[in-house]
Amino acid sequence: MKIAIPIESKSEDAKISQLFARSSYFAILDKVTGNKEIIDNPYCNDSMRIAANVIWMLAQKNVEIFAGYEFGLKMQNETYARKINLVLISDKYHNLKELTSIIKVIQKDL
Amino acid sequence: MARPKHKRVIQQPPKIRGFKPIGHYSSGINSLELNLEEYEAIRLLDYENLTQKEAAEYMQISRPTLTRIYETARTKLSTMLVEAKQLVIEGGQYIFKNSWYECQGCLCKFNNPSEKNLTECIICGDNNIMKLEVVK
Repeated sequence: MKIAIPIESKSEDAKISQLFARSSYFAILDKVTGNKEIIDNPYCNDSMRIAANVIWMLAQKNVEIFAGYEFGLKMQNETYARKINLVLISDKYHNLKELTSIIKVIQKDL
Repeated sequence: MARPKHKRVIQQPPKIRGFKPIGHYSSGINSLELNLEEYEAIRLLDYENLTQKEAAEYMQISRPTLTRIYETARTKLSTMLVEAKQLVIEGGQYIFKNSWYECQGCLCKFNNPSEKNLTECIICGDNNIMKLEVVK
C-alpha cells in the first residue's frame, strides 16, 4: 500500500507542499516495505487537467493514499471515484521526516 | 414553529479549527464562530471560484439559501479582520458528503471511499479513530 506526499524539494526533510496537485515533487512511501521514492511532478505548472494527470501518474505507481494539507474539488471527486484514500495531514507535521516518522509500516525488509 | 433546517453538505472537513490575530488583541474573550456551512460557502465561492448555482448544488441547498449563508460568512470575516477577533470554525447544521474519520493519535483526517470497516488510522495505525457525520 503506497502513500503519496507532496513536497517542495528532494531532500529527506523536505517541507510538505501546501497544494497537492501543484507540488513540484512527490514522496511515495511503501507501507509494506518501508521503501521511499521521490519523483518529479511534470504537471505542476500546467493550466488544465492537473488533477487528472497527477492521479494518473500516481496510479501508475500503485499509490492508494494521497496525503496532503488540502485537496481541490476535482481531486476530491476523481479520487473518490477511483477509491483512492485522501488524508488531510495535521498541521503539526511540517516536513517529510516528521510525517514519515509516524506512518505505520506493516513490515520492513531485513 | 419554524421549519427544521436542511443539513448542508460539506465536501471535506476544514484543516484548522480557527485563527488568532497576531498582536496584543489575541485574547480568547473576543472570538467569533464561523460555522462549517459558512466556511464551505467561502471555500466553494471564493477559493474554488464556483458559481452560486454550482456551489448550491455541491452543498445540496437552494441558491438563495447559499447567498444568505455566504453573506453571513463575509460579514463575520470582515468583523474578524477589522475588530481583530479570534475566529473559531465549528458548529452549524451540516453533514459530510463522504465518510471522514479523525485519528485522535496523529490528528490527521482521512476518508474511506471503499466504505471498508475501518478500525485503525491509515497513517499511524492508532485505533482511536472517530467517524465524522456522513450523508445517507
